[in-house]
Amino acid sequence: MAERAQAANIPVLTPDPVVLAIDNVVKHYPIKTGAFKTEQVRAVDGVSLEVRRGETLGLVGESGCGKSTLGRVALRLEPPTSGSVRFGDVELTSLSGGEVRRLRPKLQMVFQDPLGSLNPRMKVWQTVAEPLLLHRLAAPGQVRAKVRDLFSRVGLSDELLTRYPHELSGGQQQRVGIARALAPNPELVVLDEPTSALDVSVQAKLINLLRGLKEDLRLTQVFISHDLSVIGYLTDRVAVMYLGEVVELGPTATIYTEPRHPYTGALMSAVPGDDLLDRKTRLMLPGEVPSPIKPPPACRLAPRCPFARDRCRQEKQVLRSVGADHMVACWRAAEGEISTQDFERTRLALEV
Amino acid sequence: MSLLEVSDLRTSFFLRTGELRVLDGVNIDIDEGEVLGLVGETGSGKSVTAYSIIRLLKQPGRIVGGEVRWRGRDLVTLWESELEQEIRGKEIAMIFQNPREALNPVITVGRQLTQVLEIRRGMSKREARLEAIKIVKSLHISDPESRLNSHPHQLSGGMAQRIMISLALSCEPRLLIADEPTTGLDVTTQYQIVQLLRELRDRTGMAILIITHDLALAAQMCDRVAVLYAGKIAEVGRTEYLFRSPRHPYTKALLASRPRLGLKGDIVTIPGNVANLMHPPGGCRFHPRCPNALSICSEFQPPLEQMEPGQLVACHNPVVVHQEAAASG
Repeated sequence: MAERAQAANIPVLTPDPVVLAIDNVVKHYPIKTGAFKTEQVRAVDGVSLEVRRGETLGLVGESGCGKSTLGRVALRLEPPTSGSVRFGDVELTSLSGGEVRRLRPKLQMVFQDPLGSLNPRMKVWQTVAEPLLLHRLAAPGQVRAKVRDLFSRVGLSDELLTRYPHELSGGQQQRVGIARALAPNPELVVLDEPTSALDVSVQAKLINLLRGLKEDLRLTQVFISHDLSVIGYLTDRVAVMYLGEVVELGPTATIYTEPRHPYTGALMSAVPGDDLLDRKTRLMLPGEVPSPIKPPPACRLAPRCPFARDRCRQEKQVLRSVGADHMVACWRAAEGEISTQDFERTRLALEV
Repeated sequence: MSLLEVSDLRTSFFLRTGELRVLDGVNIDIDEGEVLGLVGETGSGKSVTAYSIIRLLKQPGRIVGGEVRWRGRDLVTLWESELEQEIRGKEIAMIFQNPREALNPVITVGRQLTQVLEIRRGMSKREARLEAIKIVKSLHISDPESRLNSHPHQLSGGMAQRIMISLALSCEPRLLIADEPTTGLDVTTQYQIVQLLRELRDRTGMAILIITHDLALAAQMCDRVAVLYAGKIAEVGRTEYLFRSPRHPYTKALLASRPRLGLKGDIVTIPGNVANLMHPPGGCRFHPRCPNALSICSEFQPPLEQMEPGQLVACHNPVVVHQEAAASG
């Protein structure tokens, strides 16, 4: 654990202040597995991350890897089982409910299911106005003007103000969700799969909107998605998660072009390239993601990893630096035994 | 002759507020052993096309016109009992997007499989059990015996989809309709299913109709691809032509709207919204959003016409293929 804390303290060249610092966060959920038996789902199991002002950090991984849980813990929508979450100078984990509520305007979230996350009995302008009134962020007389302003910012026309959520299309609903999150001028926004429920053409427009907002408002964002194309387009840095742990962390371009962890290698070989027709064989991981109740003891990828050695099954892996701002939780990658080229070679070997 | 020939298929949903013309004259055909992709966005009618072909439409949907020729017989007018006994599940099988919901939750997956084998292929219990193990093994499912003894909720999404596929294969169909077979699965599992379907096609020679919104999946798997927009085929052609030199403005726009790593500036998007099927625009249904639209487009529906050999496009003013691009592609 000391090594991990050390790894998180490696100085980064960017001078921007750290907005969010997650340190060794663990989140376990108890589930009943029998009449008298309770086991722990290890949703997030010791994650350390930092997000700097104006930066968009992507969290990628397959379902059940803990990326959404981590996003919720980061905003203190759920308390972690252990570990520390610092927002600026404030330790979120030790705050009372009232203190969290006072901080809430600065910590906002956009959810995956746009319809499910909007109040069906409220007209959409009321949904967007609610945080303004609740936190007294605008005088009652100015609320309408502020809501109109937010609507135009997210590309919704004024005529939609008085509609109910179910009367809007999926793309419009998600824009309302974004407007609501932006209403209290947040300092940190977590977006949990905001484009996943949308069609390609609708998704493209929303992605353009998010990119524009990021540039105009210099928002600090955590962008959670399983869609690697979207993450590749919208984020500055990426953290790759597997079974509750971060296995690789680095600048987006580096992660996509020079993945070092075999799991990242497999994910990246699944990203459709510019030429969709290129029927390349992918680096395939056999089997399936194991249960987060009983994850493999040492390296969690070891049972599926084509590069695994005995040491992988015995020694827990921690993030180690392999380049500028680039860390990987794989000793073989960190010690130079395997590289991006090996993923390529293995892929080609499979092709034969 | 084609294995399946769908011509001018029209399906409507009769709602309280009026008739929703979901399919407005769909034409597709599939050859023996061919993998055809049907791509389109939500509401384009791709799933409805599949359900219309094997007549599994739910109320208030109804086929209101057209033909579905299956090896010479018209499935639209065939008796339901004949369709059920001779074709559905037997010659044409289907797998669904949500495999765990499509399986019976209260009996083991092994029993579901042996039931089909006993009823459809007249096997004894013992024979069926052995055959079930054989099928499941051929899909690279490890430890088949214990898998067959599990209930659907005990399986992961990828495993449940494999069981669905084994059910579909149990009667050795000549056409497999796969409705979003990998949607909802994880990327690494998705690829395993894609590999499996490809391998099955090569091994058994069955044709596959893949319904998907995922352009990358279609490009990876299909011999030919048909693009559906608002209940009509916009373009259909060999996969490499369609992706290299799309001729319908909608296909081109759809391909351009993918986010990509390293892309600078905004993604090119399609203006406007998907056509309202209750009151579809006159003429070509895409014309209000089309960059190439001419005045004729709002008046007459363009017919599906041959452009290159094997590439059909329904457009009055198709995208011009650049000679250089065509030559280098």
